[in-house]
Amino acid sequence: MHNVLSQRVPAPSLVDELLIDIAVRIQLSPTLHALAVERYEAIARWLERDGSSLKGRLRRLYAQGSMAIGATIRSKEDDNLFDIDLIAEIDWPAGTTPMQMLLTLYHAIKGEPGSRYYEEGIVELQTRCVTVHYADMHLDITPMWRNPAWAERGGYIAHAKLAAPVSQHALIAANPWGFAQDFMDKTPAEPWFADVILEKSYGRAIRADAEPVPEHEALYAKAMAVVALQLMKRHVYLIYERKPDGARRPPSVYIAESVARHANKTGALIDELIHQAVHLRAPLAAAAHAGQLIDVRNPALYEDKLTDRWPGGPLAQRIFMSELDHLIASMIAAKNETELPKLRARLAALFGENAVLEALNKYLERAGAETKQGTSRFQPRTATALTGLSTACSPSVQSTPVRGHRFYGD
Amino acid sequence: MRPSIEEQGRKLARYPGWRTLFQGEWVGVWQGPVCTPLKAYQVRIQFVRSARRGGAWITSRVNPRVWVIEPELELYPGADRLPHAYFADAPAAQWPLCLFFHPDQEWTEEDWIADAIVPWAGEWLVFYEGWLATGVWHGGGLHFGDEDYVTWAMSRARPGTALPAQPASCNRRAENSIGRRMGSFVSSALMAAASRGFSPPPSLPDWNLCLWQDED
Repeated sequence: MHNVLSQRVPAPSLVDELLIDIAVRIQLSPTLHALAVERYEAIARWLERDGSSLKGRLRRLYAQGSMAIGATIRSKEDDNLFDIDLIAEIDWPAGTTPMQMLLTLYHAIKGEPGSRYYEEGIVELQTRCVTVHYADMHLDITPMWRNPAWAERGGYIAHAKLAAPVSQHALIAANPWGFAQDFMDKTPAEPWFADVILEKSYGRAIRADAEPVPEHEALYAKAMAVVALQLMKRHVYLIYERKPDGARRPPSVYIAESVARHANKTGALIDELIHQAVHLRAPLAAAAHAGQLIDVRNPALYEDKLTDRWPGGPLAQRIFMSELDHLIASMIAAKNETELPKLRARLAALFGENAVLEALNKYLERAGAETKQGTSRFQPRTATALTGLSTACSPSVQSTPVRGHRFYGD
Repeated sequence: MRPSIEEQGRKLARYPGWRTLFQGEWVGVWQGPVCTPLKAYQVRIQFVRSARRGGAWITSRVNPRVWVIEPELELYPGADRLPHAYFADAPAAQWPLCLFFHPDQEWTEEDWIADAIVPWAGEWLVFYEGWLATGVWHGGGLHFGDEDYVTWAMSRARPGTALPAQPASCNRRAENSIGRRMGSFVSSALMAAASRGFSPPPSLPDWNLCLWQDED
């Protein structure tokens, strides 16, 4: 659950409005979020069934990564697939190898012929997890071996490739749960922003004074930094997908660590994006200057190296720096853009044409409905039409209602 | 109670940067910035207060008349005119804006220009920018003769009667016929004479005012 921060007020801005709508369009919807929870709870029950090799040994199955911090997004422009990351904390017998951890979980989920996950293509063994495929999402379940000497929920995850020699198999230190808690602590939500993103996520007004706020709703009451993270991830996914040689992209968790560390320093989403990109780039430049590769650790467990598989070398590091340079320049240009067709093109180049057009249409439809219903707002101090902007009704934005009317014409 | 031209001007002047180009007893022309969240536009508003002169009512065809002075408006690629703009003898991008549905009296001379016309111009500009970016006008509204207009007209027609004639329409063909039936269009020169010596600023297009004669 995101913390709530009481400071800052909204400044109505079209580019922020579009960015929020883009983020809402690419994020895991509340409906799909509920479905994902339902599915992994079903898998947990399945692992505890009679005859399961893991019966009585599954301590907990919980969300990690983007799912745990409310930052899950569609990774591609042309499909609606979401990757949901989970940790299966299991009591492993002494001497269990990394490959045994993965294979045991794989077979326990796959089950017997005729059972629900058995069919070809549903369950897949990966290097660090077992993937369960659905039409609209993948559940990546990572088996963990808890290390009681570490902070809560810290442990080892397995790294083992079937085709690779056993000498390359390893147990990797990890504490994704601690990471998520740390991330949430560092990214308290601005109340007005949380309200806007909640309402847009659910497509309806959310009761602001509800106590206690249901957990699934609270996950969508996001901070600006979290939405900036979602947009940065989207951009990174899109640009690395276009790279011809299948270059490995920087891990989301490494980006998330930086975002959390620099959160809450700005008052507008576009500024937050620029600020976060600048602070993501700075340590890369410092490492490159020193002739090193960047090394980022999990704040909840030093042994958990978030950059253990990226960057592969100085070139990968330099490429990401130059992508960040481009992102920063593009966002500054978008912030200063005064022509909507050009703003649309700039945002489409960063976040994908479909998501941007959907966001633009959503804003214009909202503006149209307000005009018709007489609920749009106007700011007399600047003679500015705030039609369609979610922040226009905020008590801190001085605005007056505009009478309903209909445009006429030949 | 109809605000005077001077009162209308005073209220408009509360907006930053608004100034009076002309203010007479029954004609006012003002100009100032109206903004969308992206940019500022210089908007000019001309309002002719209806006045009785002898046996006739003198009013403007399109009243208040609203133009965007700068930046020059553009057309969406392939379009030959702006959406929801009045036909005028000028390049399509310079036509006056159609901000409200006259037949339903969404704005009357008892209303303030500053409270309605200026915000509506701002909304028009928001939808104009959306139109330029997507090719679709999202601001709704209706056109003379289209389905919504007919629905509106039918809702006001008594059974067995013809559709109501539309007063002060912004549809030129319809208006010309009304003009022929009820009165005649007069030139800006004639109106200038009627406005006690006022000559419109040189940049103003032809006022296209109407002289409405009493029907009796």
